Amino acid sequence: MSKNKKLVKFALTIFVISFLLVQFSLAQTTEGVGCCAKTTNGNTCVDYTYQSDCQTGAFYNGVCANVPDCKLITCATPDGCLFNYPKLSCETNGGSISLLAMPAVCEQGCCGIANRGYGVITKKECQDKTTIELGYELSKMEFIAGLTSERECDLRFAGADRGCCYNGAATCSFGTRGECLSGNGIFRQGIYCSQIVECEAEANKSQGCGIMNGDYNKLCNFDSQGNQEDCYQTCWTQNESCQVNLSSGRSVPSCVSTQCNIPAGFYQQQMSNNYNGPILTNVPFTGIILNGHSKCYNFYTSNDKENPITEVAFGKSTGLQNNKIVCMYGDIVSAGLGTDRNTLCVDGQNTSHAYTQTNKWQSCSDCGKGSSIGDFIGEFFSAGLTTMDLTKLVSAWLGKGEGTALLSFNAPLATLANRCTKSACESSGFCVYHAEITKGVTMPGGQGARALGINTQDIGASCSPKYTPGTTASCGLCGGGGDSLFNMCEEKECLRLGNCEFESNGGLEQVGIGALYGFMLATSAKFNVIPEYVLIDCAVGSVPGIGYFGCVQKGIADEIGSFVVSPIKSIFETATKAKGVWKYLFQPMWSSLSSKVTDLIPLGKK
Amino acid sequence: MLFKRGFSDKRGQLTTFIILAIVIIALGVLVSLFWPKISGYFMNEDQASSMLASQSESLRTSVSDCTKEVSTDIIERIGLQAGFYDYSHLYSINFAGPKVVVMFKDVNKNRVNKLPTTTEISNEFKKAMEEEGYARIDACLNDFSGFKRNMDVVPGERKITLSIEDEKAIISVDWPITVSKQTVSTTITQQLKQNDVQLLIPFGRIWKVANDIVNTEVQQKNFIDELDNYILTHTYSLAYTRLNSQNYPTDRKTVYYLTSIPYREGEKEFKFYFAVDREEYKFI
Repeated sequence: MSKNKKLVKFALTIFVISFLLVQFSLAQTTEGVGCCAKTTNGNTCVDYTYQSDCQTGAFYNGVCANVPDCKLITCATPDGCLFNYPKLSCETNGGSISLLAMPAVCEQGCCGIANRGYGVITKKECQDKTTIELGYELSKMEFIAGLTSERECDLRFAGADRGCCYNGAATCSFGTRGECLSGNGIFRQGIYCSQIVECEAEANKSQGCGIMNGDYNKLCNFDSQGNQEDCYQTCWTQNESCQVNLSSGRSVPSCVSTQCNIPAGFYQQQMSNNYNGPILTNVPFTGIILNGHSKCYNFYTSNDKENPITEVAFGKSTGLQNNKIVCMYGDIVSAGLGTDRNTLCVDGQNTSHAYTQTNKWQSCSDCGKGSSIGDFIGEFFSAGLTTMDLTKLVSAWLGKGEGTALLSFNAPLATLANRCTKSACESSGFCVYHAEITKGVTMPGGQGARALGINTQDIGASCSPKYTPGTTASCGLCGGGGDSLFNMCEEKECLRLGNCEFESNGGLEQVGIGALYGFMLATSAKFNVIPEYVLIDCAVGSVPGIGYFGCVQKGIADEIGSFVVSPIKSIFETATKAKGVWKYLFQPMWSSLSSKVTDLIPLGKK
Repeated sequence: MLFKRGFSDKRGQLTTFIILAIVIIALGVLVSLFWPKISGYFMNEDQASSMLASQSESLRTSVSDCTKEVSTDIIERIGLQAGFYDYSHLYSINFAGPKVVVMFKDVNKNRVNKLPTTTEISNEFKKAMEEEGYARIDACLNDFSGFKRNMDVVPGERKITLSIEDEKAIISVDWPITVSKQTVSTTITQQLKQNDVQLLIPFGRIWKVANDIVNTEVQQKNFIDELDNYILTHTYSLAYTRLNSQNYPTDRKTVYYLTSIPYREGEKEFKFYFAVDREEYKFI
């Protein structure tokens, strides 16, 4: 008994200790984590912060987006405005807060002070420059809101009187009359500072690009104190600008072309094989791009490696991306739009400005997609028929046409299908239509179908991305989408879906899948195009609809002929892509089966 | 026996000579080491002042050079980290090294701007100097050991700050250093003020472009689509600036690379890298 008591005591002790330990560790891990308006090391509005890393009173449960101190405001600083800035971050870093999205102080415009242009800046910057940096009265400021072109702003102040301003004690500066008088200097209009003895400036000491308004694109001389003097060359303003280059460590001004010359073969140099196959660009070009203009420079590999240029859709292109290349003052800069290819580059129509566009490939698999059982039934009963055919069938069913000979119940069932058509698939511009079976299928010319003008329609339609995405997210859609009932996963479709690998099924799997598809397709087609009288014939001798091989009377064979054989053949051909040992196993099987089928159903025979 | 005694005497003499030689050499070394101080001790006041003045100038130059070297290195690093020295409160995209995300979506689907202001960048610089910069400057100056041979050097409290301008970065060095020279007759003391260091780094110009990019992005626009027009309107201010970008790992995240083109003697390329994330808010 006492032994038992001891055991109980021991167990209780262990339990209590464990409980306390768990509580302690929980307390450690569940220390408050939330928004910290100000951390101990001075950062502001930081999410997911431990309370212990936060200054007293600055911790909030939840996220910073809901904390008043971290509300997003416009922050006006002496160097410009920052939009959607956390309030406290602004206050802490010397900015002034505005609750307006675009307060007047943040408006961009042309800033002129004492008749000299200071470029396109915000109103606040212009004000600060006037009063704080230059020490002038605010009345000297001229701010032209909305004038955001630097060239226009420059020209606006180009005509002001210029001259050397002498302030005594060898302090001279070349500038505008307004500047000089604002600083209480003596203005000598049209005179360079090196011409005034008291300035002690040496003329033509260096060369550079002009710094006075209207002279930015000119090559000018400067005196030993850095004051601009005469300009000796003007750069052609449209496609040239004055730039200073560092040549052997020395600054040398020159007129430099701002346009970008694309060397012939620029794109060809990039054309090489990667592991997906030959790389191609969709816009091979050479020539000139002007400053501030752009082009697309897109790379893909093609599905059709033998004839890539004619390919309407691209294939798996792992690692390749669309680029927007822009000419920036004679240099080409590039914006890589990402190897996921969710953003595409598109060249502008009749403009030389490229733009980006979202690759809406996700919608491709929605073509012909139905969620209900009705879609499944409809697809089954509509195989081999087009929408127009269905209309005819319906009218025939209603007794208004010749189609009465056709099996009547398939028409209403076929209408249940949400079928993928070429036009529906390709209307968005981001998808490409493909069908498993489009050719080589001849409709039986019996009393029903041919008389009605019913044509074969595509079977096993798929709608794939035109611009193959660079992810693996959609690989599982292969064989789905479109008319998923009869859409088999083929290599082309697989490689159009993204960075997917196509793997053939094993031999037995192929035989199984091929037989199943063949069975379904044959059964479906038989139901859909079989003339009524043949069905009756069949019903007498066999049970229709159970399976193609279950009803192979001569009458049926004549009617459905190659229509049934071809799809089976096509599917079995797909299956023959078996590799390795399965190939040797499968091929004799197919030979024997195909001869059997051919014997039973005379190909092309009416 | 006699021979033995004579040999022992000679050995004793030799030992004495060796010890004497060692002492003389040691004294010579000590004198040469401390000669500047010793000789300085016997200088007159004018000589001492003149020496102090020349050494002070040399010290000031050394401080300036070391500050320039360390500051340039820190500013370069800050530029690669979107203006931050410590970005642990933000996340980054790892594309050829971490690229700090300065714009992201919050829970309310608003795009939050986290680009540091120029004042904040200056604070980050101060943080960097306190954490590593001062120690590196001390190491660079070798604790003034070269100067301490000639004079006494007592460095005071220092404050090295960064001021960002469009075309340059100015490092203000507030570091009073007391130097003194003791002579037989007097002690001359000077307090040195340091020169500001001017770096040819167009930090302000590059920051303004970064600010324009982030301001465009927070207004739900893709800056890459605005780039053509941006270049066309910024006829002059972008002449020495280049911008490249790369979406990574998805098209919703963009890394921007801003670089300056050097145009002044002694100027080097300055890089300012940052990233934006347009993806929906996800609870981490």
